[in-house]
Amino acid sequence: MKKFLLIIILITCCTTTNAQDIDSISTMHDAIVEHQTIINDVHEISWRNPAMMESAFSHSLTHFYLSADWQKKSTPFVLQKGSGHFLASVKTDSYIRLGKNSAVWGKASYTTGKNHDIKWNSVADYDLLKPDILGDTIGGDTRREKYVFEGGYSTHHNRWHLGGEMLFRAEQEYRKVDPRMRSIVSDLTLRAGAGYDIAQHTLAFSFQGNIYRQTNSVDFYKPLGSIPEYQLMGLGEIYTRFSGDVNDLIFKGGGIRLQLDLAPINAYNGIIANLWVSQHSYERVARLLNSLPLTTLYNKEVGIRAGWKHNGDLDYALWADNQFNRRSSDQHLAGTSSSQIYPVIAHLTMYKNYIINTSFNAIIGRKGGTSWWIKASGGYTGNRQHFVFPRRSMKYGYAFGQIEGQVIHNASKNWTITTQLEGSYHACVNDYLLLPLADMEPHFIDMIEHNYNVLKSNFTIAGARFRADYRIGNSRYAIFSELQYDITICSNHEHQNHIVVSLGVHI
Amino acid sequence: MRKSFIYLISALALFCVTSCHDDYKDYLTTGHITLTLPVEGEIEAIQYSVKMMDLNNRNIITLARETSSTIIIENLFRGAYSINVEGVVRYLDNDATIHISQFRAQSDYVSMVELNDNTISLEMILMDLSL
Repeated sequence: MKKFLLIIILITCCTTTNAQDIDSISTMHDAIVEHQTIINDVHEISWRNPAMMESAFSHSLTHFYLSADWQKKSTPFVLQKGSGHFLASVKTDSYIRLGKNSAVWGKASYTTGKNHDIKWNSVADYDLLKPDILGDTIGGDTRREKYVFEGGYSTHHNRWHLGGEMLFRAEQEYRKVDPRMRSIVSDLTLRAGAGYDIAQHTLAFSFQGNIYRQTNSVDFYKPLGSIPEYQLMGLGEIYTRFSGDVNDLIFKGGGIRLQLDLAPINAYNGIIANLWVSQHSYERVARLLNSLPLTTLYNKEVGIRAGWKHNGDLDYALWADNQFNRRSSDQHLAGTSSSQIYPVIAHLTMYKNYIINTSFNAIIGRKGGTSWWIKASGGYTGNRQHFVFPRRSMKYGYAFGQIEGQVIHNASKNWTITTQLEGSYHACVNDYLLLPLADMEPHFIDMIEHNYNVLKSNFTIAGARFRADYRIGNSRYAIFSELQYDITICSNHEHQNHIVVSLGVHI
Repeated sequence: MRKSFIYLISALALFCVTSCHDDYKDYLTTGHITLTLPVEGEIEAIQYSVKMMDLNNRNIITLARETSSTIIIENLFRGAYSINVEGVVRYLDNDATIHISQFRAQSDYVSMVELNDNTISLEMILMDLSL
């Protein structure tokens, strides 16, 4: 209950601060258009720099809402992620202008729910920590609770822009039946940025630091029915020596991210450019073995976005993205033990994963009583991973095309209706799997082949989103409801349905 | 001020580049295992098989030798190993008496992590001293 109270206090603070801003119907509609439009996608990277947030929006907008998120797959696409989830949330997000030169923004949310049919994964944050995880063959549903708090401040003085932001996530995921996994996550990110106006553009730089920690354990209340917990290292390989009963782990890590941005000052046409580099590492430590480090995962990323944005009667933007990720994992080799204390005698980089994302994007549209946008994207996504010894390799790559349309209609004095449709096709253009089958146990082969058979499929995705905002009389309050649905169909006859329903108020 | 901004960007970029982590790519090494007699004497002939198990990954290597009491194992994956040797040896003691004996030699833990040379010596346990 304390958490709810905290959220409510935050909301109250936000709404009180915001009270003076919205005083006309057109302002409410304009605020919705400004905050909801898909042309904001072009600024998605720039707005990671808090110095750029002061100029992000000219209207304040605060949402407080309840949300239900249901996802169901016919079979798990990736066994470690499960077959779906049901999550209920209470959320607030806010962007508030403090006069002409400053803005604050923030988010707070509490989410609770269940993930279904997870196997081969006994940790939280699988996408972050894979493949260095703990896992077993039984798995099952897990319960989740997540708290998120984010806040930032940005200001500009003459030509200078300054900003800072803090993001904090606390999460726990657990199971009430054997194997009783429990993960508790704390994840803190701090960002600071500075920018300078030059030739109708803002040139900005930001620095981000992250600290991550997850404590993880798996218990069996019925000892006779216990099964081994595997220290997975990628593509079905395990750290055999410490697999079985070393079920008490810590994942600790963090990293830095540097970003350089160039974006036109509001209402000007100009170049959009972002360049970023980051490095994060996550060490898996066995607490039961006197904090012996087992593996360290490194995630390096470099990305570039370049494009042009035009503001006018017709707004348009063109941009290209190129992002490269290199994930690698070092195995720390343990020597002989003395009273359960193992020295680390060597390190070997055993797992390597290369991910590339390239896309070209175009968006065109017009703001007004009825605002509309059409966005088209196309590109290539590739994933290649291998384990050094015994040699294992997997790769898959997709060529994709996507089209998206959005209409935001000021239907009457009190109603604003948003409709969004999206369709995409991801064609698998290359795939490859190499496993040392003779040396592998059958259940590891089944796990890898299951994931591979889905990942090498072609995917068709279709989605729709409807949102209705209703202003209550002449007040500054509006209620809104939103329904979002998307379906993913794989060429191997599997599919996924995903529905999100939200209901709340905004100011 | 603009210069300060550029200096700041350069310093942080330099920090980022220099803090990058390098891979550990030295996967293989060479192991030298020498078998020694527990008594004074000279080995005349020897036949044996060697079984090495990587303690961390449980990978097993099996080798057989017929001539020398020193084994050189090239392209050995670096790591911690247990070693088991079994075979037959014919040796000459100080009295010039010929002995033929089965033997075992073993070690629960040997470190094979040095990049170039990992030399270990194992003493044979003679199982049968009858001529």
